[in-house]
Amino acid sequence: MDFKRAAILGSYISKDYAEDLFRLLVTYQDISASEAASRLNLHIKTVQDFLEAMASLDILSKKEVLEKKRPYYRYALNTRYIDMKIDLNPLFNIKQQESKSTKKIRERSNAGVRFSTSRDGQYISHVALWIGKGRDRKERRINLSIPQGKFLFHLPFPSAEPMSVEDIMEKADVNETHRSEVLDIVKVLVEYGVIESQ
Amino acid sequence: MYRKLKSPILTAEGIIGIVALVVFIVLLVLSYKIAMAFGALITLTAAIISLIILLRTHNAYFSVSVIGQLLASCFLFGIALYDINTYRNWFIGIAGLMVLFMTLMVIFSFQRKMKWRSREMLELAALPINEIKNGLTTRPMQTGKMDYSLEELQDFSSFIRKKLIAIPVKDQNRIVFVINIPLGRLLAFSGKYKDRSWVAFDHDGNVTVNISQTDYFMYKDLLSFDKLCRSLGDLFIGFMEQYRRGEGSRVIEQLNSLQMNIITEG
Repeated sequence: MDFKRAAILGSYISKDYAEDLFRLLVTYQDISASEAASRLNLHIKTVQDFLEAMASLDILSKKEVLEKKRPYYRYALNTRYIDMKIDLNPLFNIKQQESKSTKKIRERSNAGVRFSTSRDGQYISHVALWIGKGRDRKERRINLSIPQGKFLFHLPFPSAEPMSVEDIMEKADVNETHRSEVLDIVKVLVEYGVIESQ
Repeated sequence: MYRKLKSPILTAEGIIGIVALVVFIVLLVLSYKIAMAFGALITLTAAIISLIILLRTHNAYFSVSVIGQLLASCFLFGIALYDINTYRNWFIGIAGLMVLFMTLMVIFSFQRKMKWRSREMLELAALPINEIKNGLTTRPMQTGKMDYSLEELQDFSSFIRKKLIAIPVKDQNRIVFVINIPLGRLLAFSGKYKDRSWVAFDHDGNVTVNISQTDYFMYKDLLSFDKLCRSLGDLFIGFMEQYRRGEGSRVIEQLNSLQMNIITEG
């Protein structure tokens, strides 16, 4: 199951009424949203959304029927077992692909960001950015892991020649196993205009 | 000689000095005795400041300044409180010593023995930099690595402090040399330095440099920031190497060669 489908299933299955609805679906051959809603004393829209979501995940099948020319759906369980396995590898692989790019990075000039060093001064402990404009301007503080902090400590200055992520990691003595978290912070800081890539 | 730093501006200490002088002159017109008492207070304050600087830097030349200013304070208090003719001999003795110590103070000032070297350090760091490229950042930069023992680092720290090149601050695992420390922090024995320009030597031999925004904008041009940091780091590394070879006087010669004026710090 991919992450998005798992998220849909997770969010609906965590509802208070989910168990009752599934009990109805197991008990009935098929059931309409209005029948289930009246049976459980829920709002029809709530039940309809739940059933539609489950149908989109192929846990239920739906069949259109007519009652005095007015169509509606009846839902039936496709399976009595829901297997929720989430594969996180695709997320990791996306980042691995990014790392293989030849892009070189450095801090953007006038990025309007404040870097704070750790107590021993050997790495950056957090980054404070300003988000928004005018009166809505807010400070966002990102606390960094030690490998991320070491990486940012060695990030080329705005006036320096840009370097590849691999070279900076080597210079900062950051282990290869921390690549994904380093790439994550690089991605965030590129989005906020703190890092420029070439 | 072309300077890369802007001309020094009037600092808060300078303004306080000018205001005190104006008040002294006004009081002199209004009441001679009160003016002398005010002058005594000012010189006493100056003596206390010099004493604190002496304690913080261990620069022995400031002891001359402390004694000279204390004598001046005693002399002015004497004039304000007593009749000169009654204690003529005392006054002559104090005045003689005061003139002697003040003369020594002036001589040492001309010899740059009591001169803070902040501007000279910033000027020296900028000497090899010709590239103009704004790249200011709040991040420090690791500029180099060298081998030294803890004792060597402490000796070097003592040298840098005595020669008024920077104020060393002992951190968790390193010694941080704070350049251009404000007088207020110096007098308050404050160890706060992160917003200032500094060069740190850690116990593993890493040399890290930070140049503050205030100091960076003291330059006429927006010099390449990374090169400037590297240059300041190299300067300190060079100083340490020279000091370890027993050539500490060469460091001072290098600073004096810039021929910057003997008083201003900017």
